[in-house]
Amino acid sequence: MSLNGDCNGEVTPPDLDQEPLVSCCRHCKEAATKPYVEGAAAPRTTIVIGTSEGYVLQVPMYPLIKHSAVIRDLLYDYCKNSQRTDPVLRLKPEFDAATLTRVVEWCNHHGDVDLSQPFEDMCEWDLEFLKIDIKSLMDLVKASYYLEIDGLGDLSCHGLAQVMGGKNPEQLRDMFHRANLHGDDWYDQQSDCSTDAVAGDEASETP
Amino acid sequence: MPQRDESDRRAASQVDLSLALDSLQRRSCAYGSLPHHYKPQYSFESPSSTTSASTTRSNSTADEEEDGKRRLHWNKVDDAGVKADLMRLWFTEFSDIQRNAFLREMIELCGPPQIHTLSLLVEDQLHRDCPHNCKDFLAWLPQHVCHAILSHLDPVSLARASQVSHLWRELATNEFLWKKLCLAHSWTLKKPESSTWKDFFAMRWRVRKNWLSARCHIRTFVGHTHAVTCVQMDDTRIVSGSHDQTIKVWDVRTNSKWSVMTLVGHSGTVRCLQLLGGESTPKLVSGSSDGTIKVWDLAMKPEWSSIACRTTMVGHLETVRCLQADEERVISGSYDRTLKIWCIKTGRCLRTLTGHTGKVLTVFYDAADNTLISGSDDCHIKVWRMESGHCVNTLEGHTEAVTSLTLAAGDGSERRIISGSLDRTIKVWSLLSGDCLSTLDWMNSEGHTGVIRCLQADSWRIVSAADDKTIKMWSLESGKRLVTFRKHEDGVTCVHFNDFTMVSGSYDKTVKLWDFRVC
Repeated sequence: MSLNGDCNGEVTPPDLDQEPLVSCCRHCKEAATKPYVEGAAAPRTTIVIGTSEGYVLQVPMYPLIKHSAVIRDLLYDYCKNSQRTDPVLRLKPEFDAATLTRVVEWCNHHGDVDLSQPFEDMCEWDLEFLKIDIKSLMDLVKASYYLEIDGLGDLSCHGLAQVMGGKNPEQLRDMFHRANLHGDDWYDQQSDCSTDAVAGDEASETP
Repeated sequence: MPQRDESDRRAASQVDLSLALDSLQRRSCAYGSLPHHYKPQYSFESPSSTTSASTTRSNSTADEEEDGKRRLHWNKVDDAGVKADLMRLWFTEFSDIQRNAFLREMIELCGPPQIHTLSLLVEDQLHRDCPHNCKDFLAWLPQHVCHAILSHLDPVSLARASQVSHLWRELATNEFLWKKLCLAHSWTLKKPESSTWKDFFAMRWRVRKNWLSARCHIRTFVGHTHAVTCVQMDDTRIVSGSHDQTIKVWDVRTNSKWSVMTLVGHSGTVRCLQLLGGESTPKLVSGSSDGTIKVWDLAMKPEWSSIACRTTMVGHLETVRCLQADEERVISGSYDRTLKIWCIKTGRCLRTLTGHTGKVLTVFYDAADNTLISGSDDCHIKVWRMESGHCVNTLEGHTEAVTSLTLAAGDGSERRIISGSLDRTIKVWSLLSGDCLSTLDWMNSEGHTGVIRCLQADSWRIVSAADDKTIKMWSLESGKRLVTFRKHEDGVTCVHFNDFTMVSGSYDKTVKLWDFRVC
């Protein structure tokens, strides 16, 4: 995976003759079901994805299309359309390079997961993966939602929830709201008694 | 002469600069829009004076101050001012991408003071074009993603999140989130149709907290003239048997003395009883040291209590120490070392189970497993197969008589036997294998210091009563003691609880009702 920081859009297109982008994608629905083995010959096939900063990312194809039905369909459409000259796959909406890199990193690491099975519990790698700032987490949630990557969505939602957990309402407001622009936006203090009963406790005391 | 060289170089560069400026000015008329003090002035200072300023700058601090002042006001002719103007001009001619690259490079060159200034300058601009509350991800993510995030929260955090803003409250009050939380926790209460899942969860939470902190309202029922030996309750009444040979039926809803019904009939200590539900035909089954089991009709008015006894089962040769009843049959254990199964309608003995070599002190029947377990004076627990009447397993481990038994759910489908004994320990056994899984004793688990008289368990806890005047509640999962209830003035002989309340009887002749529904 390489990050081409070329500002003027002078991106070297993937060599369509050598790289079997088209021929692969014709079968990409089947290809997606094949297990991804890191370092094996076939998965070196890459695709080029545009980012919101105007960069392009060249990333391995198999892990991505395995996890993301959206990218799979995009590639499929892309390959059907023979008049396309733009070698870059444009997502809608676009995501920034950091987010996309994380998505690809996650897909790579979970490349050999059997998707028909329910997703197993988070491993150590996942927890390490979650150690990023809130903004990145939000982007990751958004990206995994739009790309329909369930496992990553679950993981990043869990990450966000972890950030939110154990905080009182004031701290949450500090973290997730800007300055008090709209006074009426805040929850009025006449809260209902059932919320109070639960919220008043220490988070550690969960039964 | 290095100084000379430097001044030459400086002069040359200033010529370059002025040339560049000239050419730029010809091309651009941007100056008109610039603030006046940024307007370039073309009368350069002489190279020598600039040089002297720059050379002395490194040496003397007084000059440095002056220089600082000069740089603050760029309307004075200055090298830096010219360069700044030049940069500004170039910058305006950049494309967006070039500007980004340029800024990135400039920021890399900045030290802490510049970064600080920068942060102050752009603070108000940062979110200028963002949607309202761009940091508030719950506001702009699709609703089901919000719920996915919130579903990872623990109840306390979720409740707190709902206090953040109106929007968050709407999202965090979602029925499914709370339903999931309700179902996730193993203790079961029936949810009233009218209440929301959130209210229901909060109610459960409150009751549970009250249990765990022993915060409850205690009512004491006085009336027995001797120690209370057994007690049971349902929604409206408490029944208690006593050494004074009577059974009393107390009305929970009133404190009136006149609403107490006294059932007289046994000619010995009432040792055990069971209340059988059904609002239409509430029944009570009791066993006594006179060797009989009596079935009472509780639908009677208090003044007719003397004719409430419906059936008397005679067959045990000694004290009926324990019994369990359902709508069809009664299972009883006796000091005569046998267990008997009776038909509740006819009062006939259907079967007698023999095998214990000591007095049978406790019996527990579980209809789901069709398993009967009994504990005895001979320190053993026996597991019986109900349909055949054979003893399947004998559990050995207690060093003294087993006084109380119950079955509880274990990990997965495995069931566990919980037993209390005269040896002051509570043991947990596997029903299938018959192995002792753990022991709760006084030494290691802060357990009872007296004989354990009674046990009951539900899906998450064990409650035990003992001669040390306390009732203790244990976690079924971990075996940890959760709370100790102290209020009785003498040993507690019996205890019975449901989700909201607990009732206990004691040697101090009283029955106490512990109500955990208080706020």
